[in-house]
Amino acid sequence: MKQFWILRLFPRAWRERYEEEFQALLEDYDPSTGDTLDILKAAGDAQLRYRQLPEGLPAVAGGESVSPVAYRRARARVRWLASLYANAVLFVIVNLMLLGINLLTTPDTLWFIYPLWAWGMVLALHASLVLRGSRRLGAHVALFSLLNGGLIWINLAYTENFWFQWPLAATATLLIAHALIEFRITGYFGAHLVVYVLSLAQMAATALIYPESEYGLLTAGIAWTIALACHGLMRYSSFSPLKAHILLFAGVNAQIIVQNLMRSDELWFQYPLLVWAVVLGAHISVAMGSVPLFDPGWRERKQRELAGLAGLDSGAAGGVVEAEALDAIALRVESLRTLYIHLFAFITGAAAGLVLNILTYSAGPWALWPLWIWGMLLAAHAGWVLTRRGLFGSHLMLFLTANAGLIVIDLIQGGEIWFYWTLGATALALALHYLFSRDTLQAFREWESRRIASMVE
Amino acid sequence: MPGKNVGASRFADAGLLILISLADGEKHGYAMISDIEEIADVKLGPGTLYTALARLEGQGLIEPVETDDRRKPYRLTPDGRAELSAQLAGMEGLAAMGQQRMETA
Repeated sequence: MKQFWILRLFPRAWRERYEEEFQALLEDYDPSTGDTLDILKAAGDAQLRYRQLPEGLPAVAGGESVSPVAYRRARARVRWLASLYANAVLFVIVNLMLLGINLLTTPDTLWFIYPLWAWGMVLALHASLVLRGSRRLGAHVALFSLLNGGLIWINLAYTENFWFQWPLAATATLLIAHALIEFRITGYFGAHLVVYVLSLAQMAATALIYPESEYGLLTAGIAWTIALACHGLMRYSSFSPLKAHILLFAGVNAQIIVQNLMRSDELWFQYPLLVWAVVLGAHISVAMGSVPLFDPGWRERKQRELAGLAGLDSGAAGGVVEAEALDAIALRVESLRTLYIHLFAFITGAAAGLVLNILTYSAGPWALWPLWIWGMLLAAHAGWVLTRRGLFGSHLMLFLTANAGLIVIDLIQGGEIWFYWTLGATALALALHYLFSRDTLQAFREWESRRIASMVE
Repeated sequence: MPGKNVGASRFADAGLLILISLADGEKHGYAMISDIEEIADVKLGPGTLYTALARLEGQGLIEPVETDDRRKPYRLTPDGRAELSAQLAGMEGLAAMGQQRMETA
């Protein structure tokens, strides 16, 4: 049977209903160029008008349909898992291809190991975001091993001094804290205490090996002690997080200032002070209730607003259908709230970064780099929540923000123009994602329904 | 040519032409296109045809006929037949009114 690529432009609901017969018509018909335009117009029309078929909730567990909230939660979970599996499959395929190309073209230089390593870390990070429980710990162990394995190799291969032990010790400490919490050996405070003792031991060892770094380590050690004390006050007395934060800010900065004035002619204490002040300012504004998003009534107001838009009266006692629709709206409000919190954190981080950049202006506008990367993650998050196209929406936003940044970099750098390579490659990847997505892969949709059904049972 | 009505069909929309085409029995997509070209000298594109079919089906004026063939035939529903007859009567009235005005002018 001849496949018509143009049918992929129609929405899924339309295709489920008409694709087969429409395809039969096109086979009889042998469409001309004018007909192609006619079909394109019909696809646009269908995208606008033929989208909202009643999305039937699958009957599971003996024909009873499940609540939309449980269904949507399970569906979101399954899609997250699917994104991880897709990443893993692509990881294997692409890296095998790269290995083949490497061995066939330049067998003397084994460069395939670099993308393998970098992508491996991304995959482990992805897994640590998607998986739960001990599997997440496993993903963190993988990330830890890949990161430190790579760093040790870089250290030994390219540099004279040993420095790999610092990131190794720091990440090992975090991993231990995670394991303690994951296996419920301690709570958060207990894990903090263990990490504290381990870090102090590390610092003491460092001070013995490198006596010249003694004072820096002393500063760090005191800061750590104040942090532990503030955490303890929150845990064991009725200290609010804001009070603990202010105490931590005052204590740590006071001793940084003392250290700075006593040990160095150059003043540098203002850098951490101002950056932290921006973050603390954001925390204070949240605690004082001046950010509506963190208001206790925000959820309810937003739910009323969305219910009003959908023509539902949230106050009245409605039927089952209304109650289910309101549940779905509550979920929607939750995901919007997460996005807005992310946006708020981004604005705070951007302000802090720009303050630090202004103080260190001689180094150029360096803060734009981390902000660009964070901005891409935020755009991907927004694509996920706002476009309702899930992972494709995320990738579309990533594609747009990443290439916008790359084009700017290319133009600023001058010289040979290269941005069209990355633009072309990512556009190809995006197009493949569009063609082979949930909307078009029947087998994937079947798998998804089965997983959701087994999850809500 | 018998049955050909080129002048009026230029103003008729695809939906009405489909209803007229189905008035004498069920037809699948390709048969409708050929039939409409034959009776009204209008060649509907496949996209236009299915946009109109989806709209008419949504309005309950036509329905698909169960078949194992991939070429799925459609037929008028009782509502569709009533709608077509109302539209044709309206057009007839309009035509008569136009004729009358032309004669008195």
